[in-house]
Amino acid sequence: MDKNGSLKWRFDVSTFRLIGRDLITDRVTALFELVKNCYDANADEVTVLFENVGLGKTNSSIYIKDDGIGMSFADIRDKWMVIGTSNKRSNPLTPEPYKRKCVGEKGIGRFAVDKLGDKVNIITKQEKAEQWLSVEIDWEAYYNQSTINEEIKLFTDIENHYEFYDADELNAHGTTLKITNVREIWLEEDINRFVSEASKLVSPLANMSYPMTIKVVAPEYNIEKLATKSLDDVNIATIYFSLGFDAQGKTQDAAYFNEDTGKIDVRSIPMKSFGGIKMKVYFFDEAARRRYRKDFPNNQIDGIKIYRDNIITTPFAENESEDDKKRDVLGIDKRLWMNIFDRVSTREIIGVVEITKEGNPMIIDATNRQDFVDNEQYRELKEFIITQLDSIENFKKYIRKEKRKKSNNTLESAGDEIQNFISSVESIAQKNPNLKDSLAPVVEQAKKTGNVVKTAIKEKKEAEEEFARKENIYMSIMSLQEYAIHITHAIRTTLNKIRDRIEYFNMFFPDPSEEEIFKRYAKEMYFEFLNANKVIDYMLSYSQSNLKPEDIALDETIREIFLEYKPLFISNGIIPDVVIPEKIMLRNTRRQFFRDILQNLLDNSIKAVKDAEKKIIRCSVVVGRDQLEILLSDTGNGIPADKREWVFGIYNTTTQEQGGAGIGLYIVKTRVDSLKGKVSVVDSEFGTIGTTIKIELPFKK
Amino acid sequence: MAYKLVFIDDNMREGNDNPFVRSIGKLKKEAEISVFTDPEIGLKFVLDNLNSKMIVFVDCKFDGYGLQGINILKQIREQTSLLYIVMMSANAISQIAGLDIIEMINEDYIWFFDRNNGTVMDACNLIEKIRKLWTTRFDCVLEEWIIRHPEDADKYAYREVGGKSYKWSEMLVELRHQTAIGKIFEGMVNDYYIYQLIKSEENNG
Repeated sequence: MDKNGSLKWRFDVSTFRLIGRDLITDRVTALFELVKNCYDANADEVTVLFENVGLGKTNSSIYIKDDGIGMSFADIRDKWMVIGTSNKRSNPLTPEPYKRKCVGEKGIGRFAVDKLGDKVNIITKQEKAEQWLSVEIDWEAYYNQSTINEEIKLFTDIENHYEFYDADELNAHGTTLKITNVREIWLEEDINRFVSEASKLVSPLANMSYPMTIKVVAPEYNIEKLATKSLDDVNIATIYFSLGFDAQGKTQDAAYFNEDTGKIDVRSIPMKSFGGIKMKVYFFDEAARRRYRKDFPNNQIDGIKIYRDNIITTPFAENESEDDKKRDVLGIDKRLWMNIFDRVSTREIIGVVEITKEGNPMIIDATNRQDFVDNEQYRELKEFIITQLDSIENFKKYIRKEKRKKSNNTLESAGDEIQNFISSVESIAQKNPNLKDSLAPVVEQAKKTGNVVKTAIKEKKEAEEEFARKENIYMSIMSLQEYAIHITHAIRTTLNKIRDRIEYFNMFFPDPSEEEIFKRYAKEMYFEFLNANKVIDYMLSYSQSNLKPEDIALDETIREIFLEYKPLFISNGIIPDVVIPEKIMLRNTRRQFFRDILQNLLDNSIKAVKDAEKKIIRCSVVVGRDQLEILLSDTGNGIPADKREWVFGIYNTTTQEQGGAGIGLYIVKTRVDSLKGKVSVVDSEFGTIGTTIKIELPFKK
Repeated sequence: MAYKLVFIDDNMREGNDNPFVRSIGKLKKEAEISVFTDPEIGLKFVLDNLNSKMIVFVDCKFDGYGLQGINILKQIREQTSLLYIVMMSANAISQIAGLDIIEMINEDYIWFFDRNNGTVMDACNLIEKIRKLWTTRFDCVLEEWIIRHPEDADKYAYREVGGKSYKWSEMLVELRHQTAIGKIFEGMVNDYYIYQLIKSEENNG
C-alpha cells in the first residue's frame, strides 16, 4: 500500500446530489447526523468545536472529535466513500462490549459534511494502529465539476489526498472531522438549538453502562456546555427505586411501597440463591411517558434489561431491532394475577439489573442466546425481579386513590370559598348600607355559582360511585375468570382422584390379595368428597344470608372460634393465647367475614408451627381511638421478608409442603379489603421466629 | 421386552399406590414403574437413565414448583430427541399457554394425555402405540439383537480412524443419547444396507 496517495469517490453526480444536498436541508440536522455516527462508533465523549462561524468572520471551522473505534484505510475506502453501504442495517447493534442500539440512519451522515462546509479533513485511527490516517476532501471541487463541466458524470476522476503519520500513542483511537470553509453562518441561537437537539440523541437510561457525553464549545459566544443529559437530569420518571446488596452481610435490598409516606422504600432481606444483584427501575406514568418520548425520540421505554459485568446480555433479544418482536423473557407482560388497572407493563418501566460473573455464577447464558439456562437460580431471579414490581403496582393503586381524593377536596374547598365570599360580601353590605343594592346582584350570582358547585360535587360523587360500581363489576368478572379457573381445577383434581379409584374397583374388584388397597381407596374417596365439599362451601359462602350486616361482639366471636379450634390445638400440641382487654362491639358489620379471616389465619398458623419446637398461636386486639388492630402471631417457620406482600396473592404459598394451597391469605385480604381495612405481615411478635399478621380496621369507640 | 414407565406428577403423592399408576402396572406387567412428585428429582432420574427404553408421563403443571412440565420436556430434549414423552394435564388444552403448545407440537415423539377424559385403558393403548414404534427404531432393533445375541455385545461395531472404537453395547448408548457419533453411525448403517440390497438384487438379476 502507498504511504501517501489519493483516493477517489465511487459514485456518480446525481446520486451524490440526491443524497448529499437534497436530503439534508438543515445544518443543525446535518451536524446532528455526524454526532450520531460518533455514538454508533462507541464514542464515550464527543466534542463539537465551532470556530469563527459568526457573522463577518474568516477561517471558519467546525470540529467533531470523538474517541470512538475509528476507521481503517479500508473502512474509508470501502464504506465511508461508497454510497449506500451501511452496515448498521444488517447489524442494529454497535460492536462489543457497548452494544448500543445504532441511531445513525442509512449511512447518510457522511454527506451531512457537505452541507456544513466546503472542505473536510478526516483524521482517524483505530486502537493499536501505528499511524493516524488523514484524508482531505474538497467538496467545492466536486460541485464545480458537476455543474460547470457537464461531461464529467463521475467523481472517480477526482482525487482526494490522504496521508499517514505516526501515532505517539498506540492505544489512542477515534475520529476527528475538521470542516473548514463553513458554508453558513452559525449564530449563538443556532448553536443552542444544536445543543438542544443533541441532548435528545440518547437517553441516559438507554444504555447505562456506556453513556456518551457531547461537549459543545464555541469560544466566540462563550459557549462551553454539555449537550447530554445525565441520570440526574432524568427526573421525568414518576417514581424510581434503586436496590443494592451487601456481599459480606449476605443481604439483598428489596423494594416495597410504604402507604404511609406514599413512597417506595427499601428493606434488607437474606441474599437469594442467585447471589446479590443491583437493580434500578424507573416508572413512567402517562404524562412522563409523553415527555420521555419528546425528550428522547431515539429511545423507547422498553422494560428491564440485564447487564452482566456492565455488558448488556443478549437473552432479551436485543438483536431484534423491532421492539414488538422482543421477547419478554422475564414474563412481565405475561402475568395474569394482577388486575389490569394497576399492572405494570414493560412499556411503563425502564430498568436495569446488574449481575456479575463472579457474584452470580449460576445465571448462565443459554446456548441459543435467547434466554438464560433454565435453573432454580434463574427462576428465583425472575421471581425476585417481578416481586419488586409489586411496589410500583401498589404505588399506582395509591396514586389513583389520592387523585380522586384531591379532586374531591378541590371541588369541596371551592364550595367553601364561595360560601366565605358570600358571607364577606354580606358583611360589607351590612357595614355599608349604601352598597347593599349594588352588591345584591353579586351575592345573587355567587349564590347561584355556589349551588352549581354543590350540584357538581353531588354529581361527581354519583359519577364516582357509578364508576366504582362498574369497576367492581369489571374486577369481579376478571377475578371470577381467574377464580373459575382455580376452582374448576381444584374440583377437577378431586373428581379425577375419585374417578381413578372407581376405575380401579371396576377393573380389578374382587381380588382378595388386593383387599388392603381396596379399603385404602375407599377411605381416600371419602376424604376427597370432604375436600370437594369444603371448596363448594367456600363458593357458596358468597350467597349466604349471614353476609348481611349485623352488630357483633368481636371479642366473643374470636373466643368462639378459638373454642371451635380447641380439639385441633390439643391434637397438634399448640398453646392458644387470646389477649383481648375489653368488650368490642362492632356495628353494622359482617360476622362471616371475621370468621373467614380468623379461620384462614388459624389454619395457616397450624400448618406453620407443625415442626416448631414451641407451638404457640396468639391473637391480640388493641383498641385505638379510631382504629382497631388485630394481631395474629405464631411461632412457626415465618414468611421471608421479600414475600410479605406476595403471600396475599392467590395461589401464592410458603407452606406448600404442609399442603398450603395459597388461597387462605387471599381470602383474608379480600375480606379485610371489603371491611375497608388493611392487612399486612409485620415483624414477628415472637422476635426471630414466627409470623405476625396485622389487621387494621376503621373503628369508632 | 422390558421398559421403564416414569410418571412425574405432583398429585401422585401415593407413589406406586396411586390408582392410575397401579392400574397401568397391573395391565402392563412387563413395565418397570417409577413415580416422582418432585419434578426436579423426576427429571434427574430420566436424565440418569437415558440409555434405557423409557416412556415418561409428565404433568404439565406443578403447583408451587418453579420447574414446569414444559421445562422438563425442554431439558430432556437438550439431551436426546429419542425419548417418548407423554404430557398430561387436568386442564383443558385451551388453558395451556399458546407458546407452550407450540413448543410441544414442534417436538418429535410427544403425546398428550387428557387426565380428565382419558381412562386407564386409553393410557395403556397409548403405551402400546409407542411400543409398536419401538420395533422399527434402529436403537430398539439393536437392543433386541443384543438381548438375543449377548455374545455380540462386546464386539466392535465401529472404529474411528485414529480415534476411539465402539462396541455394539457402547454404540447403543451413543444412539440413545443422540450423540454425533450415534447419528453418523445410524446413517451409515442404513446407507450400507440399502447399498447391499441393491447390489444383491443386481447380482441375482
